[in-house]
Amino acid sequence: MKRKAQGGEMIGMLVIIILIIVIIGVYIRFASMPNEGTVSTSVTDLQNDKMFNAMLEATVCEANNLEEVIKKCSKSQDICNQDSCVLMKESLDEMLDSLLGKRLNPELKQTYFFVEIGNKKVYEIGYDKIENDCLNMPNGKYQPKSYEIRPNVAVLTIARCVI
Amino acid sequence: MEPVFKYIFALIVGIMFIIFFIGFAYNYIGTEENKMSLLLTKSFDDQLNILSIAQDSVMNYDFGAETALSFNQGALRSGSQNSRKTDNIVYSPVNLKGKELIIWTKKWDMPYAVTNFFYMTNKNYKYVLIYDRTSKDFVDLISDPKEEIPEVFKVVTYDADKLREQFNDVRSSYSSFTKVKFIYFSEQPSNSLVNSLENINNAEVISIIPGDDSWQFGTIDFQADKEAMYIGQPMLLGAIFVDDYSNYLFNLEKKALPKLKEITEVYINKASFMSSALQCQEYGLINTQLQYLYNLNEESEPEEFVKTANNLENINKEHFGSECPGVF
Amino acid sequence: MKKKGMIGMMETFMIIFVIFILIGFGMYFFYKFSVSSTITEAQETCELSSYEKLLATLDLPGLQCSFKASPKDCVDTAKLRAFIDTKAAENVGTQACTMKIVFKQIYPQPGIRVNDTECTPDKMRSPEFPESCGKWTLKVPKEELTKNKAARVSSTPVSLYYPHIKQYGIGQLEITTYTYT
Repeated sequence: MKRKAQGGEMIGMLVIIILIIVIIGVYIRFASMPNEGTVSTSVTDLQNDKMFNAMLEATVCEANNLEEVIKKCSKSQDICNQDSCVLMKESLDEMLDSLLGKRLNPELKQTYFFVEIGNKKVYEIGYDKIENDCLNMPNGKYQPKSYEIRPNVAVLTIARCVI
Repeated sequence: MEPVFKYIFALIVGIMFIIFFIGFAYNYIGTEENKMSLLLTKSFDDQLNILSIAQDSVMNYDFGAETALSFNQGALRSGSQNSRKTDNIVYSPVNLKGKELIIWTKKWDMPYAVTNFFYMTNKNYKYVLIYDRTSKDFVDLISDPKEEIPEVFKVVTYDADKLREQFNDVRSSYSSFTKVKFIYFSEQPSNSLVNSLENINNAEVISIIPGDDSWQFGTIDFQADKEAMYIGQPMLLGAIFVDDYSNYLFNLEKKALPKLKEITEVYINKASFMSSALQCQEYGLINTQLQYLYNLNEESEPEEFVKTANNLENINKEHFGSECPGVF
Repeated sequence: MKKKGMIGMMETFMIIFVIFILIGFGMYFFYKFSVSSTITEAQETCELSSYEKLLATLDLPGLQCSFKASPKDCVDTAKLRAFIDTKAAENVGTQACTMKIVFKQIYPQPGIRVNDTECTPDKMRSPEFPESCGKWTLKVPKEELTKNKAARVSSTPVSLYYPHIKQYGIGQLEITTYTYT
């Protein structure tokens, strides 16, 4: 009888100990879960559209905006008493430096921006091998976004690799 | 210990545990319901904020499950939870129950963009536009889905004279709806028709009396000696969808007119800034009209608002050009 | 016998005591988990809300460019200045989320000395404008609402229009949301 009672007590103790171990295990599991909620850095289509719109509308010299400078460059004409293609490059350098900054550093391999006039690249900045590298990455998503100055004047493209 | 006492003791402790756990569970359920309601009203309000970008847009909002929403005096509420104030101007029935909502938004220009109005309803409400010879053209225009009220609202139109003959058919056709709203457009609405329509169980009747042929301003008669003005067609459309006089008046006096004042003040300041930067006399001319519009209020005649808005539009178009850019 | 009875009662109380401790632990962990998941949800709602606020802010009638009453995709800086000065900006924002809303000028690039300078009406009228100042602050929350909170920035490029000099520049609309984690 005494042994039976002792046996019962042992089982009770065992149940309690198992319960405590389960609770501690659950706590450790939840405590070790990574903290979610880091800032989303994905660039949306809206931001690309706003960027192209703002760049092309921006006044570059006298009353001319970047779109007009690019149009003159496509016709190899001067604007504001300057070579329009040189002015286009200087303006794009300044604008993109302000808009994208370090993201255009080729070593970071994040972004590639280029302008094509008649299928010829007249301006480029950033990491030019981004497409190949991105497609070779297991979770890489190559995201180019283009804007055309019509009719068939020029195409501006910004390409990013999102992982 | 006597066995009886042991059992009593065990029973008491057991009951305490059960009460504790059941109470805890109820509290938790209540908290979760509160949270879900808040999330629902917040995400719905955010959806309205996104729609406010549009000039004229309609959408079906699907809650996914039966939901009861209430809009009253500028506050959104889900179920029995606390209400949430919204900045958006909503014209709708006070209580909307269902799985889907139809939302239509239109920009209110006076003459520059002021804000968006939101018109909301669901399939349980029916809207009947009544016209007579003074209003047929206008009602035909606004009931045409290509021109104004989108097809999804399924508004129907009736000639006031023919409605008298089809009265019983109309009453039985729309008895299954939660509410039928009759909107009677006329320069001189017939009291006998209005009284007959009001006797229908699930019906509400309002009359819209224009200030002139353009129908851009006028009076909404909510019956029982309750009248309010409308300024601009978007506000007239609001009277069609709003549930009652108090909500229409709230939207007019506490939302729309203060918003108009706010935007007008922005343009007054802009005109002053442009005047000091460019030394153009035209800004003084437009500023006078802007100040006049700013000083109008809910006691003013609706005609004054529309006349001043038209003057502003003409001045902005005719007196400004490349040397002196327009104010709006 | 008496001793056995005492021991029996002690055992009962010990067991009840341990059970209460276990329940206490369970409640504590449940509460922590519940609170942290609510905070995460609130934070995600706030971040989403800031994106929607970006879109809505750019299209506010009090800020958006309009030419002969037709809207255009840019922000009129004269209206922006007036909007801030008339206190209309105080009504911009959501109830649940503490936000700071700033328009920064990035092209033409303002000099380092002035990039943090508020574009007041005097600065906007000066001959050096737009290089005379760098930002328009639409809304700044009170300090007590941002204390001990994490700040997250969402931004989008925006076309800025300077109507008094009839020129366009490039700006960045930045919305900073303040949350608990």
